[in-house]
Amino acid sequence: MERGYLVVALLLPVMACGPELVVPLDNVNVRLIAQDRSWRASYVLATEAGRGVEVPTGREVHVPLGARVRLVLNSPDFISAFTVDDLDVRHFAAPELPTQVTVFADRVGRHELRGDEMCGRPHDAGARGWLVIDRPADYQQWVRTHAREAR
Amino acid sequence: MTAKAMISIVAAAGTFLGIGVGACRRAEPMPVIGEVPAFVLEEQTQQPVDLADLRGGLWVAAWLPDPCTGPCATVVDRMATLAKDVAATPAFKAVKLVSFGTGRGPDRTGWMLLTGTPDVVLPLARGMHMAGEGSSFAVVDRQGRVRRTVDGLAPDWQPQIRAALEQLNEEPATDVFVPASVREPAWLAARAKAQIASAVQLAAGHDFHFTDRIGASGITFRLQASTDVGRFYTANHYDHGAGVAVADIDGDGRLDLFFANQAGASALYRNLGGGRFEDVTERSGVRITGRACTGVAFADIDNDGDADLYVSCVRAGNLLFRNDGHGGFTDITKDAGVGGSGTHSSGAVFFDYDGDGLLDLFVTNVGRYTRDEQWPDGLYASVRDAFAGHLHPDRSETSLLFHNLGHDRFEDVTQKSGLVHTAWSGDATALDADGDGRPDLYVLSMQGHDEFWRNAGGGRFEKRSREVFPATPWGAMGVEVLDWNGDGRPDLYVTDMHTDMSSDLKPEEETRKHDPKTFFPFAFLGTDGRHVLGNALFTNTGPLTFVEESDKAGVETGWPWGPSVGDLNADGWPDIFVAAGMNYPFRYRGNDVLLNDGGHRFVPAEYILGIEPRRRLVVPWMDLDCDADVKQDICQGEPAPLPSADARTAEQRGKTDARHGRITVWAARASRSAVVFDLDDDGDLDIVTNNYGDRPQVFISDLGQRGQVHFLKIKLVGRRSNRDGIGAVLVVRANGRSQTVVNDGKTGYLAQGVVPLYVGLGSAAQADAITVKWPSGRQQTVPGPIRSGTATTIREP
Repeated sequence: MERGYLVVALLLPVMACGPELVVPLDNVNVRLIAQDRSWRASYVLATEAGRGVEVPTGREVHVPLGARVRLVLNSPDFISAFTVDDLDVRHFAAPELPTQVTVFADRVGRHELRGDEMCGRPHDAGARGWLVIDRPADYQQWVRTHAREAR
Repeated sequence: MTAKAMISIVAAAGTFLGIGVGACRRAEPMPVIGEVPAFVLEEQTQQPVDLADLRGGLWVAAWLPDPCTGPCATVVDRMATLAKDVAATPAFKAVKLVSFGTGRGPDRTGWMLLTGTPDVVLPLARGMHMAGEGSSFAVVDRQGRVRRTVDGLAPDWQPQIRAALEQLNEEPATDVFVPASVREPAWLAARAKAQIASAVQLAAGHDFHFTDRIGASGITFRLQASTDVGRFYTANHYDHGAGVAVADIDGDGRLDLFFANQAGASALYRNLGGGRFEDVTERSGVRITGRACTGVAFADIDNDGDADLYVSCVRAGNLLFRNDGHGGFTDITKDAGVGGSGTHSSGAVFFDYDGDGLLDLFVTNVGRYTRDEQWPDGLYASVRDAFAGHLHPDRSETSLLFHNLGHDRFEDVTQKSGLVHTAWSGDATALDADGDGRPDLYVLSMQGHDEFWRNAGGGRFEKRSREVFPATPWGAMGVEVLDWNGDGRPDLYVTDMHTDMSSDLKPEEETRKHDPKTFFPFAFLGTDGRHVLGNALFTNTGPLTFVEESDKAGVETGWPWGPSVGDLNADGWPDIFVAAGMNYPFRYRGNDVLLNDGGHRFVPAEYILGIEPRRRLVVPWMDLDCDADVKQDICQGEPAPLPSADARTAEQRGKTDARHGRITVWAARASRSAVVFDLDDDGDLDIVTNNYGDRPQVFISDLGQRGQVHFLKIKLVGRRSNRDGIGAVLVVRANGRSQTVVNDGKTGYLAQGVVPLYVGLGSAAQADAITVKWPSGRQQTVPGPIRSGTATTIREP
């Protein structure tokens, strides 16, 4: 189900990933970018000093159980659909038209996230990935690892 | 021993000596003499053969003038010799031998005998640099290039040909990129078999056959795709193609054809009779180049008894040509004031909305799907998110309503009439939905809800869309008005292509409505979400009351563009031809024929009737030089496009190494528009298509040759009404039954024509009466008997 209302993120300083990153546990912002018939994800985080930080995670993104996850969808080239069947999510990204959809991470699991060019050429392997709902501790560990790698 | 035989022996010896010597030295690269011009000819089996049928292999051609005497006769003998030689040489297993000419050709076997009209054959011979009198051979490489011409009368003709073939055999094969699942889809044979087997239970008449006679027609037109679609594949509205329309332009009683084009020139063909046409584009004054054209409409705008021509185009302005009555046209766009303002125009509909006896014009505008950059061919480059255009209000374009003022002048009354339509629309149709005698408009939307504009009288329209049609297709392309169930009320058939793009439909899913779960995301629709997820058949049950019955009637089809209606089996029930399919990078889908089973339902019959399958399902789509076009996905090693018939995962198919050099990418063939009419005046209905990135098909029916066909061809001549009686409703009574036919001029997707109404009479040898309700409001009854087979002209009193 599409839930298109804007979520005001409350950044809770639950865990510092590195010396200064703030990683929220209940309101999570994820950017999904569709490009070249593939897609990639990144966390939109901030430092304690308020500086925005983007942590890329490739085609797999983890979110904590219980969080309200805002997926912000962008595409610089084609129109792409994003689908997570397990969570009843189906939305799209288009150039010059950023969109977003909110997902409630209400059950632990590994859910396939598919991107597909709409009204055009079907995507291939590069358009498949995973949205993983972790227990908070596992999620923290995963983000910590990716933030370190991103640096 | 004769001198001729002696020469042959010497030549044969030379052959082997030549090969021996040749093997010891490295041959210089063989020069390219020229490209073989595009052609379509016909085999003796009446199957069309074009250049693409011969691509990928080496071939040797001979041109045989008619009559074939003197040097030509010698060449024929030598062709036979060559055929034996090639058959006996394993290395030449894939070599084809071809002769072409205007006559029937020699009574020989062993090579492909192609025939065609002089308009096609003579330019082909010249383009292949073949000497006059048919005395030479041309050796052609895998890419369709003439690499050597050989004097067919020379003593060493045979060694020369052999040497050329051997050298060309050594050249690396062009990488022809045709996914097997597109070239030979597994599902197709099973579908054809099942449908043909079902014919025994088919009540609707189906004992006749269509044959594509494009090769004998003289039609060389090819709808050339825009650069965006044809070369840099981006999904945009250019791939919606262009229309084909029909009218008798010169008053000779035969129906002529106009094909709209995109990156190439549009073309007007004059019907010579007997299934043959000549290209009269230049001399008729309707040559259009440098602009992508979409819709085409013939209509008599000045009531002078001839068909004028309107062509709608993308951004470069639309065109109106006045007919001088003899097939000569004059561009009167500027004075007439119907050129538009550089919008992305599409279907054009002539109808008389105010009943003043002059045909007015409604032009659909799609919306802005191009940017300001232009390709070298003059076409505007497309935006990459064209199909999200409906979510950008600044990209919408208002469709145009023009009031015919007479004297070849029109006034833009869009705002004044209240018909301010801004949806993404590609086509529309007029119909009197409320029975008040005034034509209303049903306007399609290819990205949203269709809209219904009721004619309120007084030159005003009011939008009554959701009230009358609560749910419509989301991605509507084509529309036709027909009384499918024989209740005397006009129904609407709407084809929905874009919904089929919302997910990758499997072949077995084509006749089902789309799964709402995989339909476009709700946020993408830009509507209230109440849609028919596929084609719609709106059965008229009373004034402004329609019931959607597409599934009940069996008219859901795969990837449809436009319907064209005609009584193909002349049984008195209107049938439907649906031009369908998509090209690169999608899988093959065929055209559909839906036979009306006595007003109860429609039954698919395209395989039964020979419309499908095409003999070759793919067409060369683009030539790439991967050393220059390195950014092309395919050059970078992109795996084959993923048609749904290919069960392998993308990982299984894998990515190939980057490609180099020149490659030819092939794609599925697909149609866009079609027109149904009696092309050869033999009493049955034929079909001509306009196919995207491809040549047309000219389907000739043999119904008239299989037995007595009972039919009427009715021409209307209005007096107070517009001269062609557009908007008239006819009721034909025969054998105790009435047929209702609406004369709306609509002949198919993106097309309107001036065509006599063809009414099948089934077993009745005569009609008992014809009643005409004219647009003027007058009602007229022509008493019977009106004999079958007659062309009937009904003049408004």
